[in-house]
Amino acid sequence: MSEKQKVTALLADDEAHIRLFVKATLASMGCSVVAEAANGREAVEQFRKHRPDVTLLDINMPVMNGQQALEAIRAEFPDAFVIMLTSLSGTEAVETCIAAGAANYIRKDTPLAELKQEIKQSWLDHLVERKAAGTQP
Amino acid sequence: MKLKYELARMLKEIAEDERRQAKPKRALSQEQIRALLKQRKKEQK
Repeated sequence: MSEKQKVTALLADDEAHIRLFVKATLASMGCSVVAEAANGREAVEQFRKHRPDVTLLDINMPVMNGQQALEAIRAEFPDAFVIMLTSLSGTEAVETCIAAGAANYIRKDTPLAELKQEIKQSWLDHLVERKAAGTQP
Repeated sequence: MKLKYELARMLKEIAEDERRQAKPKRALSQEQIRALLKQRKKEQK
């Protein structure tokens, strides 16, 4: 994004065309997608393997849903930067993900420019928080 | 018979009342999500 070194990302969505779209979006932001997952369990495994800077998680996925994956990732890696990207927008789902440590929660029907802005702003906020905490992501 | 009818009417009213009172699963707009996120993060600090 604004870093000289490419920001690495993990995408988890059970729909291949969504992954393709998000991958292209992230690439246009200078972000490199290092791994993809079609369900929550794969997402956790890919996270362990690649330790990406940014993780985008869908919620409605088979095997293990995105909320469970978020909890699993954050339990193992408390500093993990995870953004939920989902079509679910009920208060309960949003509250649960925020409580589990999601950095942002973005609706899938968000216009492209706004989607990019949300991701970028969340990442910048994360960098500021890490800097203030005295650790680099 | 009248009592049976009255009872059915009352049950129907109770059911409708409960449905009205049930907390709706409100869908949040992106703007509302952003505001909620900001509020929760503030509370966490």
